[in-house]
Amino acid sequence: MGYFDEDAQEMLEVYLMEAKQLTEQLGAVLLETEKKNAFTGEDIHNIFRIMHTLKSSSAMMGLKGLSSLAHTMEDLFSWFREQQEGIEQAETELFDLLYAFSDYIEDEMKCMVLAGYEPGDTSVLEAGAKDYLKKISSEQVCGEIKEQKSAGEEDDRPREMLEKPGVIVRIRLEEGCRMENIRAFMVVRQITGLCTELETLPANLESAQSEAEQIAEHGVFIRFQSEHKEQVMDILRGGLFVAQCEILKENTAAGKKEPEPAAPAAAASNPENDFLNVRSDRLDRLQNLAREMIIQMMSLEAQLEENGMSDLKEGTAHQINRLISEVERTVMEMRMVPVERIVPKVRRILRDICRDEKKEVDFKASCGDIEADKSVVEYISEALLHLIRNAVDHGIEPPEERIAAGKDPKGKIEFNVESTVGEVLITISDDGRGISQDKILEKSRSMGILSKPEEEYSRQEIMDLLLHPGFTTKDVVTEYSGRGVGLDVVKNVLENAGGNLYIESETGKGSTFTLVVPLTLATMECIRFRVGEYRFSIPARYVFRFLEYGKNRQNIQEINGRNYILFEERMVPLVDLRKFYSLGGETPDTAAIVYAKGTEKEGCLLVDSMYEQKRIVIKQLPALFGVDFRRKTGASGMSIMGSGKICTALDLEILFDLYERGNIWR
Amino acid sequence: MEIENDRELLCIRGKKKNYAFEFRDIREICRELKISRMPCLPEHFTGVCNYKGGIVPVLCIEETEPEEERTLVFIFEYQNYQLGILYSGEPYILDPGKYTEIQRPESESACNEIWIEKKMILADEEIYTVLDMEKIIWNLAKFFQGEYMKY
Repeated sequence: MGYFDEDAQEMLEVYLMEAKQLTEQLGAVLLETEKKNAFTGEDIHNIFRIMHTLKSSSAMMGLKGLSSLAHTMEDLFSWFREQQEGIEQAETELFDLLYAFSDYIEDEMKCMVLAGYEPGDTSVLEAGAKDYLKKISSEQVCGEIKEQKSAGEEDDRPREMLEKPGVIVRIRLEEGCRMENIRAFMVVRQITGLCTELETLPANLESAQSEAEQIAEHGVFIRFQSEHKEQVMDILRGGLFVAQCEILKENTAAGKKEPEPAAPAAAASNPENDFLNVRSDRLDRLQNLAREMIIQMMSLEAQLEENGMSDLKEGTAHQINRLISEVERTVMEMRMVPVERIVPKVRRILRDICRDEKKEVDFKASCGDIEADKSVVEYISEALLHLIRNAVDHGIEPPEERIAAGKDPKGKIEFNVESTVGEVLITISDDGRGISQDKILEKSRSMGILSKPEEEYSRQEIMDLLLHPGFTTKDVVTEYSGRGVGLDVVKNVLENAGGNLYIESETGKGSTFTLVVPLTLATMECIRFRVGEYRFSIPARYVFRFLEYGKNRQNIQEINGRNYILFEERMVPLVDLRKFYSLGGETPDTAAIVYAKGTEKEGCLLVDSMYEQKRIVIKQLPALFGVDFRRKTGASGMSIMGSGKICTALDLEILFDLYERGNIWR
Repeated sequence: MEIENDRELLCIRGKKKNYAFEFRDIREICRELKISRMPCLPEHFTGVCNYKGGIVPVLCIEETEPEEERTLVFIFEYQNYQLGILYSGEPYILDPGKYTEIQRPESESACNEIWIEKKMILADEEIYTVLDMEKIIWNLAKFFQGEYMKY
């Protein structure tokens, strides 16, 4: 037996689940508070609660060191809770302490499931926390501490305004900015259009020149009501000459309330009865069973058809099929998770890498409510972490270099998620130095990976060279890059998820990486067709039209050795799969032409005959074929038909790209 | 059927040679697995099959296509790779006491394109080539990752 006794071992799974949730909450609070450099009363309370729960749970598990450490952190935040309503301009030391605590617990949780686990040493962390508490309780140097009101003490907050409905904030301007009333007026003017109600103190800022000194000392108080609160707050925080912006109070029309808690606290308040934690391996098993039921049902339908039992096929079998489809859809929905859950991890990586490389980055994430299959989100997460590291390490310049280039010293990285039918489009874009095509070619030349003269490479082909294993343009290996494994990993991860990666870049302006992945890996509505003895499928969402080969022969033209067909007044590639894959045989006169349009490419496929559209289970290519098989052949997976025969699933983007480049498979 | 001694060999008669496999390499022997054609596979591959929900590439052990009926697929596994070998006929078992190892010609390589020989044996005056399935699968994996993809 390992470290835990029998009783604790039984509780380990639950403990780990709870601890994971708590550390995720802590991480989310830390990222938000570090952005504002301030803790509200609600933040302090949340962290206190997290530490308190961890202390008790860890004690129950016999994790004395961890329990004691959590206790010390609980003491620290208990002190904050008692002493003040919030922390303004919190010290870096406090954040470092909390992050170190969070990292320690995450590392310990990973080890707890291993045989021979022994708890790590908490003495250094605990001593650090105790020293910090001692320091602040004796010196009270926790930034500008808001002290509780006591008799005789001056409180410069406007009492009357604090009682009114809306959000009340205090803006402090940069010292020595002069004409403080005009500066404040300019800031307030920017939010006027967004607010249904707006009040300032001092009032009439544009004419309150005499109040400039007062504003310099105490700041300007703004009370507003708006449906776009976050947007207003962003404008206020980012206003010219604004040094600090803090929310003093938020009063709803129904009554007073403190400023809203951070999102994780809101998530934690969901009633227990609405949600159930389910082990993901059980969901995986359920999904596999649903998939196998679909395959078996297809087989049954085919056999009923063969044996002339159409009545049974159209009757009971059809009803069962509908139920199985419903089960499969429900399981698929159970596995859907918000793509947004990637964001905290990305923010954390960004924070650490920016600190280490002494760069500043403004990160904006826009995910909406988009959800994708859990395993797809995990794949994306892994790919994104590499892209973020690359964006900061390679892309974003140091502040001095950015200023010299006429850019804002703070770099920008934007993360956007959109969904189309059946797919998720994720873009990571930065405003850094961009990727130099010359540098890529130079490096490729030295690595000997160029397969044709440099002048024949298209822009996209040059970008694709970045994905070659071992490729890096960095001369020095850092903790984050330079080993040439980042983008190659991204490519492989995406291909495992059935996705693609596109790269756009402009030197001096920045780069954009676009990931396109399916929403789910399990099943897909597909169009299936036959060419000779071979069977293929393509996602139905890409198929727009069918044409008769016989009637459209005169619209086919050969241009530079490749066939094109006239489609809606333009010539699009016509891929004769028989010739492309050297399958042999002759195309029948009754052949069909399928027009398909993917994310970037469009074209037509010449096929012998079609099968009915169906929702089919897509299986991965055999591991034996390796990771490059898909990219080199356009075959992205396999699916099993009702007859037991296997279809080759085609990736249209890759197929059309191969066709255009003339890489006919031999 | 219990395999009492892992030196027992599963044998098949090919048109040109007799082959043998060590039982520890064989995951399963399947009857009536449908083989589907798949584009872009090297020669020697006859297609792919559906084995317990996964897709397994299938080799044909000799150049001539086996008959459609009475075919078997031997499923082999090494690390995370699976490979099938298609055969029409009936396999049989050779007990360890019934064969002896013979010395193969030193001047000849044990590797012949895909097939890698582990050893040669003599049983009932017939010569058998014992195939090294681990090396065969490993080499195929490297082949797909390297040479086959270059163009």
